[in-house]
Amino acid sequence: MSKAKLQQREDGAGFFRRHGVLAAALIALIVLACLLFLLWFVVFSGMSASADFLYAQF
Amino acid sequence: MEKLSREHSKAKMGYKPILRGFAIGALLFAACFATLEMLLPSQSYVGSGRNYGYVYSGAKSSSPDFALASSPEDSVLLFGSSELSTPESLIPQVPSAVFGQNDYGLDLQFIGEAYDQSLWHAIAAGAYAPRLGEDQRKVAIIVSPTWFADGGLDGETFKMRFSYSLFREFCDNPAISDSSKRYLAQRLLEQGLDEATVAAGLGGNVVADLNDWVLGAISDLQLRADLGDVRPMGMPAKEQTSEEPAKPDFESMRADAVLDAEQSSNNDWGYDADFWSKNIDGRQDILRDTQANETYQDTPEYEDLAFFLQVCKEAGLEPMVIISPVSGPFFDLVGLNEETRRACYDRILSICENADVPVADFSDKEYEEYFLHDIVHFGWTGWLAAEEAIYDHVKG
Amino acid sequence: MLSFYTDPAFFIILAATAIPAVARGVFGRSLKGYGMAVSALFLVLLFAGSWEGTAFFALFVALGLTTTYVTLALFRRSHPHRIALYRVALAVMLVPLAAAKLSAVFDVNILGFIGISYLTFKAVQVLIEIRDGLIESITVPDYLYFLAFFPVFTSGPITRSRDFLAQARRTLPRPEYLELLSQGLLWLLRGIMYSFVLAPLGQWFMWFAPEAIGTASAAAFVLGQLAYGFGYGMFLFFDFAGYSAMAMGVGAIFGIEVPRNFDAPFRSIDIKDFWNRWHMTLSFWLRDFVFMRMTRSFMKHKVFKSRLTTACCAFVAEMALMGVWHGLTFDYLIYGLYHGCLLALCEVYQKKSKFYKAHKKDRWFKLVAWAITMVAIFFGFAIFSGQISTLLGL
Repeated sequence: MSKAKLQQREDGAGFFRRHGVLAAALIALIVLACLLFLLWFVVFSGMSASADFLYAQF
Repeated sequence: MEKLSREHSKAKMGYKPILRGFAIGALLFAACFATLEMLLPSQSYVGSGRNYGYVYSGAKSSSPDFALASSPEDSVLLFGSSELSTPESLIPQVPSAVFGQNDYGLDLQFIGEAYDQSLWHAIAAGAYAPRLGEDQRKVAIIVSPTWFADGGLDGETFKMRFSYSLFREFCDNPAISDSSKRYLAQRLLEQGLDEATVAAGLGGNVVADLNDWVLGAISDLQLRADLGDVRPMGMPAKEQTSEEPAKPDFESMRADAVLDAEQSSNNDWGYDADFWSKNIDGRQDILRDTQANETYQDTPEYEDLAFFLQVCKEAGLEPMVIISPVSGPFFDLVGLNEETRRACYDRILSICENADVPVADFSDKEYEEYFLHDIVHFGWTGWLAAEEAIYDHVKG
Repeated sequence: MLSFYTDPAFFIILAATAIPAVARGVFGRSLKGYGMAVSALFLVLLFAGSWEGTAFFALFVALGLTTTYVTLALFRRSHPHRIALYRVALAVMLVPLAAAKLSAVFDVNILGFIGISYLTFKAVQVLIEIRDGLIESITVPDYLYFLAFFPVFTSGPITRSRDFLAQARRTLPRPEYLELLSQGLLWLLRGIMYSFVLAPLGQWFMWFAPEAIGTASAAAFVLGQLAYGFGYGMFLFFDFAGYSAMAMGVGAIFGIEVPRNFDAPFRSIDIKDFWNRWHMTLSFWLRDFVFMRMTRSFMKHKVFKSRLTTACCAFVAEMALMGVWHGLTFDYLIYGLYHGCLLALCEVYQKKSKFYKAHKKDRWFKLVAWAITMVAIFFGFAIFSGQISTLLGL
């Protein structure tokens, strides 16, 4: 990664470092949303295919 | 030389918020899940006091808890497929009108929906049997030649209809023999179910039991959600009277049926007008010989039918097989000639004979007007004939 | 018996065995012994119920141990015929995989077991590194742990022995472990969403879109095929990237930073870039242990006139190998050759074209290059899935 990009990332992460509670809340929200969506998708949506994991064949 | 694809873990937010966030998110999820579990009514919750015996629903059929709690005690199970969906508004002689609204001392519980064939019904029979009362041993199944089309039922359709919890209850039935379970397992794998699912139902080791616990829970949640859509259906329960139930007069009902049919039908084949105009009228040339290559012999469905009868025997049920005809004129048109059809009916009959079960054979009604209302489903006089056969089987 | 990453039972047992791992990590204790024990447990569950699988796996491990320690001894004592004998050891180590792939063509299984492909990469890698002098000694438990580390056992990512063992031998202090764990949990979550939501959505799209589009006209048919091909590409990526992410997550719980397999492959602006972003551990393994050695050998023996020709031939050979590693079928072989040719063409173009050299930094050029690359890789997926074969009636 270029220096500029690393600097950008550093600044971004710095924000979350200072506001740790916000960061935790954000992560909590993401985790909750993902798990709820996963539950809905697998159990109720009817679009869940049986996990046909392709690369186990090789 | 060791060029690795490592994450650039330099500029991150630090582990504390991530771990805390995960813990909080997971806890919140657990809380949401617990709430869902509490709010979603259980399968056996019926709530309304209505009679769901004549409701056409895969969810109901896959839930013995709901089906048996939501219909009169001693309801007789009728295993069928798409013919169970015919509404009273189209054919006034359907069971919901004849048995559901009159007190003839017989109530039916519809089990099955379109594309449920012998294998599905075998699982259902094995699952329901332990919960049935002594007066519910006699059951009936409507078998159609269309089940025996070459190649059998395609995997995706079967998987769509497959209910894990019904399968699990089948496996839990101690009366079912090991060889029957092995046959079912083999067939399920052939129909495209994955090994883990089949092994989970059969159980016997830690992995299978853990998988069973999860798959069972998922199936349970799905059924509970789907039953929510079923609860608004159903018909008012019959009033309880202390009088003796009347005997149904099928003769006079048949006379009325013919009159009803003459009003609804406008064509030579005796189909209802709507079906005729949508599917047959003016399309006869397109349909000609489209099924000329079918033999109706190259399918595992025959063994599956024998399996269904075997399961009934093991589980202590006394089935009657109702052989539904198909529409003679239509199948002549599409190239599935009488000979081929006759061979199919005969093979079904011999399976029933081998299993020593009573049969209501309507294969000679292929050309009788109004017996069917479309190419395969019971019509005005057809439903009466089936109902009379069921009545005699149960009461006789 | 137990299918990793798909059976619900796998996740339940994983959760149960993860708790002591996290506890040990939090208290700054070594995870090596515990990781080995858990890996053993998972392998027992994996192979239970299959005498064949268990036997073939045991045979493979025996071969691995033998070839490794014999080769170590040969090189330690500078045995005069060590190179020749090392080559024999290498060939022996490839026998199970070759037998498995070949017999699979005839619907029989000889010497194959789940994970054999990835295990072969690992065992071969160790032999080559001994020959190169990079490994001078390795204890039996270390070797076994490297082979049997359960998160990556069935389908990779392919770990590198020295990196893996350096990490395994080290006891992480608490802050480092927690850092690794937190990243791992994010990977695990991402992997679960990819594999159980996005991949099935891709599959659903694969059949739904063509059906919805219908075959009323030739244009509709073509559109349907494109939709299918796109859906397959999405399915393949999310399925495999999801699995790889889960493997990284689980590895992290047990104190190992597993290398990455995917890095935004749909951003690739040329085919070389693609192979630095797609199935990276395979690509790098082939580069380090096949391509580099092949080119060096060709150059040394002056097989080809120029460096460029050498590189091109090595690309084709390397990718053909990659293709048939998936299986000895026509589709996989063509897939390999296809990518080999693409890499060769790309190499020639980038080295010779003045246009390229003039414009390679231009935004518009990168955009066009990206578009072309996308078409090329999705066409490659269509070969891989058999869609092209089916269309051509093969």
